[in-house]
Amino acid sequence: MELQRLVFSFFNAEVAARYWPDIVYGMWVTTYLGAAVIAAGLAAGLGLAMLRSFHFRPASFAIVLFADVFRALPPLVVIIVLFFAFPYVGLAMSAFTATWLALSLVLAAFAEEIFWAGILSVPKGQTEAARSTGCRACRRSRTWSFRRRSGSRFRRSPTA
Amino acid sequence: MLKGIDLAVAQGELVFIIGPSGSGKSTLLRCCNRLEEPTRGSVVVDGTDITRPGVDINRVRQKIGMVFQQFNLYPHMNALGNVTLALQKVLGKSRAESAEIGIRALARVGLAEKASAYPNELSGGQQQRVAIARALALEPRILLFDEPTSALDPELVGSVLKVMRELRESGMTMVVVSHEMEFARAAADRVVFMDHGAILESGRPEQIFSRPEHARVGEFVATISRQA
Repeated sequence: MELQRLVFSFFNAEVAARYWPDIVYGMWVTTYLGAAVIAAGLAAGLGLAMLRSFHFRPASFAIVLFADVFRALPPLVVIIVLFFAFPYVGLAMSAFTATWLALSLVLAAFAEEIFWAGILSVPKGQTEAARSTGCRACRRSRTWSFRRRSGSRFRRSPTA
Repeated sequence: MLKGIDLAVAQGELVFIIGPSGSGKSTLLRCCNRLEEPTRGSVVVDGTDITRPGVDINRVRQKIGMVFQQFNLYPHMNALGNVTLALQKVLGKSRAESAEIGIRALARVGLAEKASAYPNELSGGQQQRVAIARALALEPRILLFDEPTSALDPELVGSVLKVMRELRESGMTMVVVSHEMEFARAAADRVVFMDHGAILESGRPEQIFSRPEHARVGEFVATISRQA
């Protein structure tokens, strides 16, 4: 048994103390990046889903294409392309920016499909009822799909 | 779908539209608030040509109430929420003011005490009356009814017809697509018979029901009456 070597390699207090600040900094960067990706990805996804609800064909086609491509591509590939390939066409960006952009695009693609499914799940009659009282399209989707999916009352089975 | 429709509804009039399914009754009704876009022709409501390009259709729709066959209540909101949503979101009224108007509208359909009930806790007839209150809350100039009682159990139909009769007595202008012949006979000012997207005959209820000019109308009325 070489316990001493094991402790030296894996439980080395001196090394841990030396790199502790880097680890904390890394955790901060990861958290910060994660928050930025969630904010940008969800916002972009919601925007795209709402754009799609206007049923303007060229726009819908572009959105579907975007969502399908970015849901299929491994995020790592996107990061590598952004960081290593884009400088060749004069689009150099920092590692942080490249990672943020890549992960945001991927999340936007997934989020768009989720929001779109939510919008589609609102029965046509409810949309018509809203329109018949003068509600505008964008306001409608905001109030409805959000509350509907978060509201537990919706899940109860109808009695009548 | 619709051809050569020429129909004028006077203020305070109750016009009943009957006809076989697929005859374009609902389409005609839905053209009146542009839930269906007419390809040609014009629809004038309260002096505004609502088919004119550039018209603010959402503004126009506030003045045109609509009641649907399937009620189309928002299932995640209680009765008062259903009634006040447009007041708050479209007219921008405060929560308190909306609630006051909403309760008044619910009282008109006899459901003030059900304000906090959710649609799935209400019977079909009550749901439809909430839907009527939702339309009434915006103080429309005209109410459109698209088969308001077709989805109801027979014993619940009466409560909805009662509300419609009261609205009629209060002078509301109404266009009703329905197969409730008894109600048409009793309450309608005019009955319009549609077939194949056109108006085949229109006149006083007693004329349409008792001595129609077209054999097709008589046949239809006889069939429906036999079923009732």
